[in-house]
Amino acid sequence: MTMQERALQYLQKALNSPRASFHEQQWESIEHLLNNRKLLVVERTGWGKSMVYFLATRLMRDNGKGPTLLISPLLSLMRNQMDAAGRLHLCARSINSTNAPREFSDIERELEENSIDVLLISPERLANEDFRKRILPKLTHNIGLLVIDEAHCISDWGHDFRPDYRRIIRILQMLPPNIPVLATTATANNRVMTDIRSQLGQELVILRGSLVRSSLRLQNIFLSGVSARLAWLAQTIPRLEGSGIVYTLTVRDAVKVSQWLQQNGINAKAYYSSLKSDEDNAVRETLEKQLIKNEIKVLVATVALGMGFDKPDLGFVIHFQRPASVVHYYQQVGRAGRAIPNAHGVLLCGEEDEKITDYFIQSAFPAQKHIELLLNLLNDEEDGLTKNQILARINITKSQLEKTIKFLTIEYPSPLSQENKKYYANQYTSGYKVRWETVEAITELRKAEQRQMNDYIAYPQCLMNFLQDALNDTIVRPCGKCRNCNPSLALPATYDRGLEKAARNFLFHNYQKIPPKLFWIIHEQKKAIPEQYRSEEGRALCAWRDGGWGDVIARDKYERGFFSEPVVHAFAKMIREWSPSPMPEWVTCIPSLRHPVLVPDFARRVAFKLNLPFKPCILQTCENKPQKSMENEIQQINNLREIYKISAPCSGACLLLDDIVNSGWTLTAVSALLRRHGCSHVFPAALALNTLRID
Amino acid sequence: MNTLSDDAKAILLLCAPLERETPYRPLTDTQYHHLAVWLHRNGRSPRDLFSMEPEAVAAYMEPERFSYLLGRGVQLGLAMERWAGQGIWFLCRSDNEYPRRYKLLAKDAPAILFGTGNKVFLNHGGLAVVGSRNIDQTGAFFAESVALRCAREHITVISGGAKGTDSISMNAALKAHGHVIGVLADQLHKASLKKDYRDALADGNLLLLSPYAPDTPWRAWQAMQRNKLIYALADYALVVSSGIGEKSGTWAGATEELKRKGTVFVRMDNTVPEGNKDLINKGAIPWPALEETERLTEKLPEAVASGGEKHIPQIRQGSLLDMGDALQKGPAEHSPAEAAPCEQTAYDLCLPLILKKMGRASFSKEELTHLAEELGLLPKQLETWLNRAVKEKAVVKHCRPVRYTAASPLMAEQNRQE
Repeated sequence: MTMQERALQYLQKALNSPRASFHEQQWESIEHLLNNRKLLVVERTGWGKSMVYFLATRLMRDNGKGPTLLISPLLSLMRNQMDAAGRLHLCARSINSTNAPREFSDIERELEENSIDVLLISPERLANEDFRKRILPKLTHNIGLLVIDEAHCISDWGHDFRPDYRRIIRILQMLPPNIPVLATTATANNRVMTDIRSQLGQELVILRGSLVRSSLRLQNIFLSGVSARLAWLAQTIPRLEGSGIVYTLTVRDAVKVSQWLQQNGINAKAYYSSLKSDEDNAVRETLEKQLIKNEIKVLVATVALGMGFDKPDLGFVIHFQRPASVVHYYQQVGRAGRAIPNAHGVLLCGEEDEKITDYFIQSAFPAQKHIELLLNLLNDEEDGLTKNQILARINITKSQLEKTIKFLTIEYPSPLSQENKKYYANQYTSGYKVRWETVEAITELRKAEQRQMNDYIAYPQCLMNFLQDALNDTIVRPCGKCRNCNPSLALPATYDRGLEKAARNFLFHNYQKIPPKLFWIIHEQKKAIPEQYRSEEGRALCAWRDGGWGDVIARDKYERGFFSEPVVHAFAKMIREWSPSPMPEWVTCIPSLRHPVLVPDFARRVAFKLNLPFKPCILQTCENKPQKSMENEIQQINNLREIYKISAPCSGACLLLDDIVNSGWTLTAVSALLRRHGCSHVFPAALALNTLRID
Repeated sequence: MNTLSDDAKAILLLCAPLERETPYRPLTDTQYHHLAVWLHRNGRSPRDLFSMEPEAVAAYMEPERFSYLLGRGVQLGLAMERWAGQGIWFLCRSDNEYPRRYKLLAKDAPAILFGTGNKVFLNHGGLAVVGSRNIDQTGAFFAESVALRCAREHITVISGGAKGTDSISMNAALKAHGHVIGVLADQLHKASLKKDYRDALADGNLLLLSPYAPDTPWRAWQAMQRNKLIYALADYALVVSSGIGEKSGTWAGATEELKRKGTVFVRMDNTVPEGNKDLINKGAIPWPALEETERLTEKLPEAVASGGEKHIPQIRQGSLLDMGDALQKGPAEHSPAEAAPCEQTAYDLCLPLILKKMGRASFSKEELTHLAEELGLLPKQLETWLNRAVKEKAVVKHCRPVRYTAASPLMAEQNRQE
């Protein structure tokens, strides 16, 4: 039996279908790998890229080769992939941050026994200590095949460059000629492919297929107001067949839209990545599974629901806001209709989209100032510093620091070294210069992508052809299904006025919880706040600039200099609806030497409406820098030391008011003071909560 | 960018320590040396190993070991990427930049060198300054003043980066903006992050070098192995203070160097430890007293000459006298395809052939004459070489009656390790 015949038998076994045959170029791909070639496969999702490496792995394992290492941003293989692997008797395991220690040692043991055939690992994990020290040494059988998933991330010129992929390029460049490599992607235009080839060497073989998704009905609808789009969603989604995805640009919008849809009786869940990635991965995996099993109607997701998510019967993909690029859009909308005859891809766009994508473009790279602060600091140190030690010494946020560290560690050579959780300057630090030309070129590229997205929205001809053209795919004919090819297939752009009114109410009813802080940082050490000094859970009327009260409050504060009557009214209403227990007996507020009237005036009026006494008993003893200019917790806490005093003894439960909550440290510190002076409970309440998260 | 040739990748796969627990150990320097000699003789390069059947090199390692080591590509990629990202480069014996002075070590030449900093110093020679970790004030002052003198005269200070003598002399030279090479026995990466070192690395005054992987922890035998690499890079060596007997690394290293007929100076005054005096008895030369205006480049050769011994370094290229052009004057660079060490003696080239001819048979004195004939050698030459091979445990000599048997390369290595 030839190798190809054996491969075909395995394919039929994997698909559980005796008449299955190879897709175009599938066998060719496998053959290249068996010949130790390095190969880039550009095929749309659903073409069967995983089948290529499963079959190659099976055939190589049969010949006594080692297991396959699969580098992928995915958390685990999809269920259908797992099934196929199982039928081929391939044992697949993934290493990610959700692994329990127990699983970790299982994987170590299985590697030693050589019983793992496919090991999946995220690009970030590759550089991880655990992986290097615990997993790698257990590879008693060498890796036989290396697979790089989502290979477009390798290219700086890809729409979705990921820093960790730079490391992968360098690993690939160090590989000897006797290791086959498979790089796969669904989206790579000519420029990206050329870039990948120049990085990985001219001997790279490229196989590429058509990207057309023939079941998709594409259409664009411009509805400028947030409430109009919310109304359209609530009206349209229940009428759509199957389940689907609504994409938003920010975490806040994902949460908001999902709440609105739930309120309208639609089974919707929000999907985004949170900072605490450990629990988060498990939550996300559960949500993905629920969507796959159609247990929920719609996931409202950020880009976090991305690469590799594969649900063959996804019925619709709706964009609440305009994505950053056409490639992003193609990739996200292309999740719909993989294995069903019809699916909807609707792009809603509104007035805020451009601002948000601008923000992303601007914040993609760390500021020069942060790079300089960090490197100068480390260069003056004898020894290295931990993250917390760095934060105590320079005034930047934790995420700014992390972004800066990430950027610097993938520079080559890197001006930053890490050794046992400490960061060090090295021989390259003093001479380091950011290559701003590259940064500028990438920023320019992102802006061009944004312009191309606008062109797509305004495009009068076949929308699918526009996407294909942007990806340098060969265009054969118009799709015949999009809004421009066949308007009768499109969804109506109308919505119910009553629903829009309800949506507006919803936007103005965006109460936010202010969670009490349980820890503070003293001398760079995280310490629990003693029970008797903690505040209770608090409330904010809205989120800063949230399209509802958030916009009104911003206008009042900066343009009028006082909070208008409707704001006070709404705030008092919120307190009554919230009805904290025990009910506060008096009201006080955070003073400010800079704005001596603004908040006390507001607090006095709220107290009057609530029929409670207002006691301005908190004094600011000296002017501190504005708390919002303190970029991280350690700086914020230091900034607060010794600046507030309580002028009179206190008792009972009190309501502590402020206008805008940024970090929450002011409320935490003042609450502790009030508790120390005799308050039994402190309930913080603010007008707006200022947090903006993007993924 | 640290681009690696396929030759270098092959050598790294065979010899680099990539993981701790492995079913097959990487080749030792000596084992690789034998393989390299064989490759060279057959007109092959290390890269050709990728297309060879394991059986082809069965004389040098078991097929399973060969397949395993050569199959470590992904592990190699991961490790090299990490090391390269830390500013560490690699030199393999096949590389043009590999120090000629190490090639002369033949079977003791490290197959791979890890390093960071300015490679230019590698072939410049210099003065090795070594001594114990515990050093008294007089010794420390002496080490410092010698290092300063070296810096002033543009002589590279070569040392081991250990505490005590090594650090004192290295730091003193660096402070005076002199050139320094540290040949480390452990933790190359960590050392490169020390404040003094990273500044000197940035200024191009320092080269840190190690035959061990950049995160290797300290082990005594490594430090011993490393000693000869310090001496080999230098024109002369200076022992500042030494213990006595095999337990003292300084003493052991210096004695070894004296046996190799290297030139070793020793600090001598009333306060020096016993080890220093002992080394003089073993053939070391007292460090000459120097006036402020006198130059090491003149005084040291004088001292060697008047030391009366045959202390003239015989094989090393470049010396303090012609430092500047020593680099250019080296033997013609060999083409990259010629991977095996080029500064080999006829012995190095012929030994594998002799061993192959011998096979598993054993030879009496008489039979050796026939063997010499077959090999086209004078019997006397063959005997000289065989006796050297016996010392190196490549050949086993039985007495009464005298018979010679080739040890397998593996056996030879085991014997050596025992």
